[in-house]
Amino acid sequence: MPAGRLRFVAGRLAQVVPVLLALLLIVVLLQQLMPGDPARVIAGPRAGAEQVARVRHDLGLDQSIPGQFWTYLTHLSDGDLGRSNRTGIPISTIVGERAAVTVWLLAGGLVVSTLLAVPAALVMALRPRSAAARLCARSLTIILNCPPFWVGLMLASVLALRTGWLPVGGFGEDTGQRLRSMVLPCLTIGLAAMPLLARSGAASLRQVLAADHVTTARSLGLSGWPLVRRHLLRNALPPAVTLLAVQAAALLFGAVIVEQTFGLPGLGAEMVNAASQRDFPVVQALTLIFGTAIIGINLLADLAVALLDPRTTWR
Amino acid sequence: MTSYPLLEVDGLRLARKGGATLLDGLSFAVAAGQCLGIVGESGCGKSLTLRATMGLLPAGVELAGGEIRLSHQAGSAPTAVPPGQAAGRGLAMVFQDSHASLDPTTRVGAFIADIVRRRTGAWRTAARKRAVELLAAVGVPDPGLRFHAYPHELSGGMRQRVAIALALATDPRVLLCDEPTTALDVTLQAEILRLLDAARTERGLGMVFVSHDIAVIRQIADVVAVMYAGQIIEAGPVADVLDRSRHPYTRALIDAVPTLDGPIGRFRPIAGAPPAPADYSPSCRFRDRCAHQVAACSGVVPGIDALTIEHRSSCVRSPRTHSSRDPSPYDHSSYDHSPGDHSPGVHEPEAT
Amino acid sequence: MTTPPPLLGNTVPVASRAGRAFGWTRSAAVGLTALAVLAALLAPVLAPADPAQLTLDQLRPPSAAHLLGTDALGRDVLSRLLFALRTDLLLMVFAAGLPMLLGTLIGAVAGYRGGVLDAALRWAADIFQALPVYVLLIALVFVLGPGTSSLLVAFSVLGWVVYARLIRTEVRRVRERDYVSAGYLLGLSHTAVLSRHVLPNALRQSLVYLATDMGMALQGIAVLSFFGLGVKAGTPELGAMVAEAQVFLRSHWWLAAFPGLTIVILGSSIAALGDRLGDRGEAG
Repeated sequence: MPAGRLRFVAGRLAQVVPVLLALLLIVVLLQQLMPGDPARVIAGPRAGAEQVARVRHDLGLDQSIPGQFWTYLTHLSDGDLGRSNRTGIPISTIVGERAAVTVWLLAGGLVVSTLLAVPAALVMALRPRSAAARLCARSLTIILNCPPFWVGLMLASVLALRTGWLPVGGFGEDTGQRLRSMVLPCLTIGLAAMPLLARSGAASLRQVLAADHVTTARSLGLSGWPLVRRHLLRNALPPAVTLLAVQAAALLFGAVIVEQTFGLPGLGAEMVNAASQRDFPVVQALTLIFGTAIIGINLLADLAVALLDPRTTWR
Repeated sequence: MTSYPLLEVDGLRLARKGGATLLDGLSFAVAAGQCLGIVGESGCGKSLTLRATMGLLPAGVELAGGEIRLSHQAGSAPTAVPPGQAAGRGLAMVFQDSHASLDPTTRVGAFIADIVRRRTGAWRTAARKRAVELLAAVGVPDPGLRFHAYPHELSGGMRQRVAIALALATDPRVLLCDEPTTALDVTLQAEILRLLDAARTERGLGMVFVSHDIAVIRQIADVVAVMYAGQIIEAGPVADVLDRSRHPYTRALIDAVPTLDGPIGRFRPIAGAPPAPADYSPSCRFRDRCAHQVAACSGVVPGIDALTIEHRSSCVRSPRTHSSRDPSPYDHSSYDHSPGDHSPGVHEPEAT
Repeated sequence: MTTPPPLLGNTVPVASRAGRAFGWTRSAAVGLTALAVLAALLAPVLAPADPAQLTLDQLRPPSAAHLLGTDALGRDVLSRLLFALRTDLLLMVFAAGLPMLLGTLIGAVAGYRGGVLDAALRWAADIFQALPVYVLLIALVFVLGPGTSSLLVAFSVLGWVVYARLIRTEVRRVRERDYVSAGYLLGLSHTAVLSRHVLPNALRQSLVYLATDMGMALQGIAVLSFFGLGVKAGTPELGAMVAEAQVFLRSHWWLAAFPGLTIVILGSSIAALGDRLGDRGEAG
């Protein structure tokens, strides 16, 4: 990699640092925001007085906020995310077991939403006045306003309960069962993410279509798929990637909802369960993990866009 | 011997969707090796004419009539082509803004080679070789190296050369130029004009050159059509139209250009603005701005056609106004007709 | 000089917008939103039964006595739906309105004062926009304890940034343009300049965002309540109603269908209204 690009990447990484620090600070401050004695809450309802005192000391809750921040950072650098106050299992273990489901769910959802969104975006951008485009636009507004948990239930009601084709929830034993149990969740999250993807895709395609260089390509006799592939998609991709990355937070939230609705053993369901059972350490750690993931996705998208666009000046 | 023109645009009519007429039955013809210049103020429909000829209408504008005929072989009569079908197949276009008109994500050489392959079905290596040749032909130094450049890595003049190479890659019969030198500085402007002129003579291209700059038109065109408010109002050989103008608008257009050598007093901007398309009337559209209005101006005053190269004007005060279309086939010999028919209808606009 | 400047061809502006032709969806949106607001306001009058009244008439399908049937505790679903509409609309207005109020205030002050305050705002806004809002929403509501007030605090803390940015930009624009002009020289107070020259324009743009945010807030409230992190248990709320109905999905699908459908219709109508505002903003 040439020095210019290296500098560019280093620069973007440097920009991420304050955001990460802010996230960490918020995560630590969550300890303070809790009503009552934080140590009491963190230790969990079943902890005795001695245990509470140990928690207070371990997390530095008796120290100032910078002190707590420092303690948290030291623990983090050892890979220690704390322990669940329900089960006592180290959170790093929980994350290791459950992260795969979430990643697969997100990947599946992304595939589904891309398959749904690309045709819609093409129709809306290439034939903006057609009835199909209007239908797409209206449908997108409606789909966007469908709560994913409800869509999941309705899909399950129609596709699983009525027909028995697919499992309603849970996460079977073997690979085949697991694949089948991922179908509905992926469909749901795909539907939830699709409107934003389609809209941003159509917007960037429209922008490219109006560009003079597309007229030039047409004047040279290019039309149809070669024009779309070579000169439209290639130019529309970078802005679409950026817009997609902006939606990453919403996509991840969708995963949280869908996992909980379908009872998939992923990180999102874990977070909701922990939250409803007042398991603070788990909520805290997962907030940090999800936050870092989203910041990371945005960073990767930025770098990808810079690499995709030949006009990037590596300065 | 009679020869056919390469391109004939006959009665081209454009309108906004469900709205005002933009071009009003425009007709012109171009022969092999000939350059037709089209001049006029911004908004008169010059660029739109080229776009419509290529079948590249902007959104919201539609073809309301007319026919485009293109000769596909030397010496054969032009045949009608459906809109858009001739783009890249006989017709090519060079645009004004070379920065915006080249795809930023495609290397220029690959783009040219792609067009060559599409046109000839050549092998990849042959197409690449041809692309390098084309780059060399348009005067790009170090074409083998520039082959791999992206448009933004080239200078403005170099980009315009690439745009010309792209157009030539389609092996056009007629090249349409939409102010290709306007965005360039004067030295580059002269170089690009020379390049276009050379391409025309070497390849026997027909050329339509749109510009608002009369000096450029005088330099490159043989025949000129003056457009005003969606019509051609005067047409003929360059020397006749520009030096012995019959239409007051042409006169005013020439006088509006400040010249270094001309007398200071000759520089006179045209008062007022051209009418909006919604206000286009069947009478003379220039009459509100004209210093020589007579009663006949508010009668029906149609535009003229430029299918022959005879000097004519639509002005009611000039002789042989909007003569009916010459039925005789296009004749090269009429090229060097004497400019002796200088009419008494030409007036020097007087300062008031 | 009328010598024409070189322009980029004769491009003609596109007159028609695809949206215009769809006038009836807009009317439907206005109608449905008005209907929802009316139904919510008149819930005590319209509801055929007390939404909290437990009966032994449990899990009845829709009938003349109970138009939408009864739930697992024998409560009339239609009555609960009407009162849930009331809860959700009220929460939605505050959950979207409070961030706007907060953001407008912060943005106006920072933009008008400039200097350190403005720099701080920009810095904070940059960081906030990079933060994972939805995940923090869950974390915040959890930490503050479930309940409506936590919901509103969480939405306000996480939602103010967009509005603050918008107002700040507008304030800076006006300040730079009219720095020495009329209002300032006439000795109008800061607040007068702000309220007369800056806010009207900026607020119209904010309203477009507000409409989108309302839809998102509606979904956010429903989701958190579905998870049991929102309203207090037993309060009629659309998301909570879906959650209660989840167990009976196989035999009583309508219990889950109707509250969800209500969210979809309400959210879509408000979003369509927002689009309309957006169109007007562009046109004006």
